[in-house]
Amino acid sequence: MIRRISQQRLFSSVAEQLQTRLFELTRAHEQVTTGKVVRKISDQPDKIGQILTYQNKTDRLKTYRENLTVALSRWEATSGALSHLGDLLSQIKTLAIRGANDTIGEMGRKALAAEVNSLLEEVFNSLNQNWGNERLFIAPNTPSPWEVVRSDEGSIETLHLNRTNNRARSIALEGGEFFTVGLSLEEVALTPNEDLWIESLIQLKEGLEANEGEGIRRSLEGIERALDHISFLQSLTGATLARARLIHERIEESLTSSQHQLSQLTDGDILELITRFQQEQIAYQSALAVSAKLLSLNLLDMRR
Amino acid sequence: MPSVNSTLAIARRALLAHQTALSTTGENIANVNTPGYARRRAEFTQGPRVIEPPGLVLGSGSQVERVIPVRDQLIEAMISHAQNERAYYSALSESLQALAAGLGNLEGPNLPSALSQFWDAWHALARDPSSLPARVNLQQVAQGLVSQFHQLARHLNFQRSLTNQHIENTIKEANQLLSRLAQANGNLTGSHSQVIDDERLEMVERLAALTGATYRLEDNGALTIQLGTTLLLQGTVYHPFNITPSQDGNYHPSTLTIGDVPIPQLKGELGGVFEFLIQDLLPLISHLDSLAVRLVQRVNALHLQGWSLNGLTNIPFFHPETSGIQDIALAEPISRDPRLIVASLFSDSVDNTIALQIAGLEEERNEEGKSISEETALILTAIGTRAGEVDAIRQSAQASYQQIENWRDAVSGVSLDEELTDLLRFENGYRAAARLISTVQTMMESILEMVR
Repeated sequence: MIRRISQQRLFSSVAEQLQTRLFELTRAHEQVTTGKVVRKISDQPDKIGQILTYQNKTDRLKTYRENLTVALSRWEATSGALSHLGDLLSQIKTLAIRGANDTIGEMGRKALAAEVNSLLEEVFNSLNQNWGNERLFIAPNTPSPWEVVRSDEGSIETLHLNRTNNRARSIALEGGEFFTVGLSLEEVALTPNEDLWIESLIQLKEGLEANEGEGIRRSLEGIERALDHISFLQSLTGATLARARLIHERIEESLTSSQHQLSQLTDGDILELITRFQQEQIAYQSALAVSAKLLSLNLLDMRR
Repeated sequence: MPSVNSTLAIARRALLAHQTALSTTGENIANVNTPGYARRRAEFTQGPRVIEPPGLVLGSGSQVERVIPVRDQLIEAMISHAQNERAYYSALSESLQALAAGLGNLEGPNLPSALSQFWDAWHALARDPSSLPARVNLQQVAQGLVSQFHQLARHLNFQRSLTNQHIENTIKEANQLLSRLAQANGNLTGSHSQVIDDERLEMVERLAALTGATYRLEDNGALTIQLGTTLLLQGTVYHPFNITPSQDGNYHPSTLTIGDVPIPQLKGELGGVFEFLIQDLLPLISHLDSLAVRLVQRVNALHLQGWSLNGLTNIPFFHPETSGIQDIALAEPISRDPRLIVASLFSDSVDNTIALQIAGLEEERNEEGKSISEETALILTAIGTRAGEVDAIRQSAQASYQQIENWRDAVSGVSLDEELTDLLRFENGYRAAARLISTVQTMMESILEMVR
């Protein structure tokens, strides 16, 4: 059966076909110029859930990576500072051993005391060194955690560490895990027995100045404990750094995978997009040519 | 034996009949682009028979008994239903598409990315809890999040007022159509066929598309219109749609009545718009409002416990009286002085406990096991998915309507080629009838010659 085709049907069908082709051509053009197949929430609703999930995951992984980068950087600075403290304590220990020998004489001990005093200042400065705009070994700047009494010459006579709620910090990682960042001043300055080991250095300096062999030998024990404490912290820092690097690597891998998945969902293959654009261009041109031919035909024109 | 005059009468009738047919064809050609126009057909019938004794039966020529619009009743009934479905899903789909389009680009600013930046800024503060730049950044990012909520609120309010306006206009148009159809029923005169005229058909189809109403053509040619079992129009009496806004300023299907009778189920464009309002827009606004309130309450609960850089405590981060996305705002002290942003749990420490806990809210789950970010993504996904699903149904409804429309067009539409063929056909008929007159004239002249 032949279906009648009305004039309105013919024209509206042609217009509809041209509109469809033009719409597809415009969409292909947009995709080629942006390289994205999904740009708006309304573009491909079935994929939006996955895209938002991967976007969220990617953003979170970037945050965790940034957290860990900062943590790594701080732990590296901590490792350097502890190594320096260890070196200083070793030097002080050598001086203490020399000073403990009674054959050195009063003049020799005074000379050693001056050297110890200088190293003591350096140890104190190392404990209070800055990292960025704050202390490397975490403690508030105001009020100062230290109460320091200095002699008229400016050398340290007594030191007291104010105990506060100060503590080391953590950063968040994937899956609700936390990772400790750096050491608090208390953790570094106090041994596990809560002794302020820097007092041993003051004791050594005083012993050397007073030429008291017994006092020097007693301080040596404290210096040994300080060295043990610092080397324990060094190994802790080393292990933490190794762990941080592993986690960083894992986050990088997850991030790459997540970005890849996201790209699979939103990005288009440029070759495919260009081919599609060309196809749409040809289809539109054909539709225009065929429509122009079709619409120009009329029985009236054939009547002689 | 027929007289020469009777032959002349036959020729005259044929001329008139073909003239009518030509004029019908002319009208069809003239209305080739008139929407809703059904082509007319001139129905030729034989003239009354004349019995001449003995037993000679002669015709009296042809005549056009009536000119009728060509329509198929079954197709008309089908198209009314298809139009109702198409209008329902078109209205719903267009509203959902407009709603989804305003929820933001995936690459540009949108709520999930603003939330993500907000949590990131808290992580940055947790990394450096004594930092003022980290606080300034957090203050700006939080302000950006608040603006994103406000932008969303403006978009949703705009959609809401558009939808309410749409409902108002649809009801107004439906009532006007009912009034005009009642008037048309009253203007009917004389005898009417079972064929509905174009103008009334267009009006009743528009009414069906707007409300899902159905019609019936009575024997006297009047239209009776119903919505479900409720009568909308009978004779010249019609019952208009009434609606009053409810307390929240929105229109609800429950407040829509015909006269005083509530409407059980809405269809057509009005049904689609109501479904969008009740099933999509208002729940979305409510979801986002509760999401904003949840965010404000959880962040404030932690922020109030901590100590600021300048040694102050008990400071809310967001305005505590937030009721939704429209009025969410930073607490006044926070927007004035970023140093008041809290990171530490203790006044004598530079710990990051509070900043870390607030950053951790990103992964905190509610009783349904969803985090704030997941819930946001889910809300947007749900709108996107629904817009996609409804659009697929709309396309199917459109295709089905188009199919029936094509059938109708095949029956009722004007084809210029066909009309031109008819034009030639009737022209030939007219010419032949004219030739008959001239033949009769020659006959008459021959007879007259005999008497000279």
